[in-house]
Amino acid sequence: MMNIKFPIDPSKYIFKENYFSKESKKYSIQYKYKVKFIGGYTQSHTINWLEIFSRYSGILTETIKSDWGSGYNLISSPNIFDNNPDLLVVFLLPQDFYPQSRADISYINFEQIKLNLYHFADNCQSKKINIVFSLLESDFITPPVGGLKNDSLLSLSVKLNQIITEICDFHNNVLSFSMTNICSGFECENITSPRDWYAFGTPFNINASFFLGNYLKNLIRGFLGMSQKVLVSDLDNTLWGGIIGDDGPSKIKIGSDTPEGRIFLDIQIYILNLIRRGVYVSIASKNEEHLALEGFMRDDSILKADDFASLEINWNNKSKSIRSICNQLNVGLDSVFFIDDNPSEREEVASSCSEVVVPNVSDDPFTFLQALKFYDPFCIYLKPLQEDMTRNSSIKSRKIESEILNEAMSYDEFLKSILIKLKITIINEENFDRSLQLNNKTNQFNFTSQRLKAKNLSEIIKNDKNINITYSVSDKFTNYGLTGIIFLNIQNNILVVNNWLMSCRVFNKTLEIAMLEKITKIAKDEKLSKIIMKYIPTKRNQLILTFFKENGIQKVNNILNNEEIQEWEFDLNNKIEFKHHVEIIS
Amino acid sequence: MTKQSILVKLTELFIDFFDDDLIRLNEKSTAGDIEDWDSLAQVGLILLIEKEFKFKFNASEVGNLENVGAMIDLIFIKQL
Repeated sequence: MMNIKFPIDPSKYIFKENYFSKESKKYSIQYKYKVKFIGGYTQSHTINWLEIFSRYSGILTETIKSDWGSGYNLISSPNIFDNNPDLLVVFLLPQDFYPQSRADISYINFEQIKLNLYHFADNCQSKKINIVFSLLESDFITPPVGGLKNDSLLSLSVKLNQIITEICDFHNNVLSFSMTNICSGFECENITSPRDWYAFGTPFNINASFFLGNYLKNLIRGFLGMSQKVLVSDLDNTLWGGIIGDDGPSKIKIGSDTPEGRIFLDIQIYILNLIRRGVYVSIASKNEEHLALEGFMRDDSILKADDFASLEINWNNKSKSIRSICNQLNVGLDSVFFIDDNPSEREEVASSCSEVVVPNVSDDPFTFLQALKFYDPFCIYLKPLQEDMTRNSSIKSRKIESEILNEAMSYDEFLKSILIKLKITIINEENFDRSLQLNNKTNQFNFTSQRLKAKNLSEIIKNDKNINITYSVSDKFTNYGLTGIIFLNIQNNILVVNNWLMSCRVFNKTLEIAMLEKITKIAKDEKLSKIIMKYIPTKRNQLILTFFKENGIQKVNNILNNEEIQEWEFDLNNKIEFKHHVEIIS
Repeated sequence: MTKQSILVKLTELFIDFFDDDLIRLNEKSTAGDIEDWDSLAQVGLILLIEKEFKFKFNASEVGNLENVGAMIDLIFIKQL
């Protein structure tokens, strides 16, 4: 990600666009994404910054500008889907909705507008295209509007925004944004100016374009499943003001009594909301644990010790604590976003664990909120899925599970006792979003790590020769939801596993053995000769090799002319015992 | 500031803005002389000049800044 210094001063970047554009091209590209901009007049700066920020995040965005003119009219144009975009960014301005000669909103047919927008959103949903609408802001500079009264403009904005937000509620592929909201918290003043409108044709200024480009990049990261998974935070002067070991729990600043306390309160509220959406939040703090935990016992501390996925409160280096957190949560270092007020601690982490995202904050705690908003590491502008919302309950159940395990029970007995159930279905419209998210976020148990865009997954499920199995898992503590996918295909009497992935939340439950038994049965029922599994080794998916070894799966060859893709064979004549503790339910 | 010192300052700003140490400006320099000087860059340049010289162009003045000489003349007048 691009290294930004907080508090953020956009002029440090916007007047060095050329420099940052060149620098961004040094980053390697992991993904390509097509974005089409519709309406809103001049969007060139937004497009430039979207491209720059995206490249820093490993995404090559191909941007397409629509014809000049009203966003609302353009969405009805027959060539709206030309260039096959992944995302449409639709700018609506108040003046798109009334003829200039008749600046009176009583002529506006809101029912017709609603129908048109719904039709457009439905159309995009069926084509697996994401849309983001700009909400109307009544104070945006518009061309001269004759007798249009201010309250009419406000009323127009309210009615149209209501329609847009309703469409967002009904469509998973539709989001909306407000320019004021995107820029708020960054001391980005005067985002509109009549001079810029008349001179440059931009409804908002270049600073706002900078923040909008960044916001759109964050949405795309979210669509591609590139969000971080863990927030690791320090305690003293990060979650509360003061040093609890020196000042004592009664003297730390948290709560509404002081300006500093109010900022920490907001940080804690922000973090609690992250936890509720399924982000793992852990502590890495140099403190005496019993003293530090007293901070969370205060009534005005929104966060409680129980909310955290793991606590590393000790005198170890922070990088060591972060590695330990990653081990406990089964995630990689590149899933971590780390906040700490102390620059030397940040430096220690950044130098020892270069994959961890360490924002360059200042000692002003408000900059922690700025950094969280700017980088949006957890992609909070996307709608959370059901599996996201239950993730932290599975962390709590994992804690209970490890307590049970400590009660001198064998691991097999333990697995039997927790009543693991697995339900198989195929990828369909209902579980499409979760399947896409799981495919793109899973790193460890993932045979090929091949990321998919919505359109790619849609093509896979439309192909009759593919069998796309998903499985949902529950045990007596938690319903983990959809946590595994196997992409199968039958070719020349062979069952080919094109990819198999499973969430780290359900590791070590013998689920993979149960599913191996299941696909073996499919192959035998279909009288196929063998099962071939495709495997692309990465730094993160080495545990697949252990799975292969333990189940007698042998490497056959590399796919022709491609040393990266390996083929591994499971011999159907193997007399293997599928030892698992999973009940497959229908 | 004299027109000559405005030219020197503008050259510094252009070098930094276009991230190109080889830029040398004179009064006749136009967008045709600098590879990356397009309408998009023009917006950034105008805002940068406003920030550095601490004034604002109005909309019609923005439309008349077709070469460096016009920029220098207008900056010179604005600072009087």
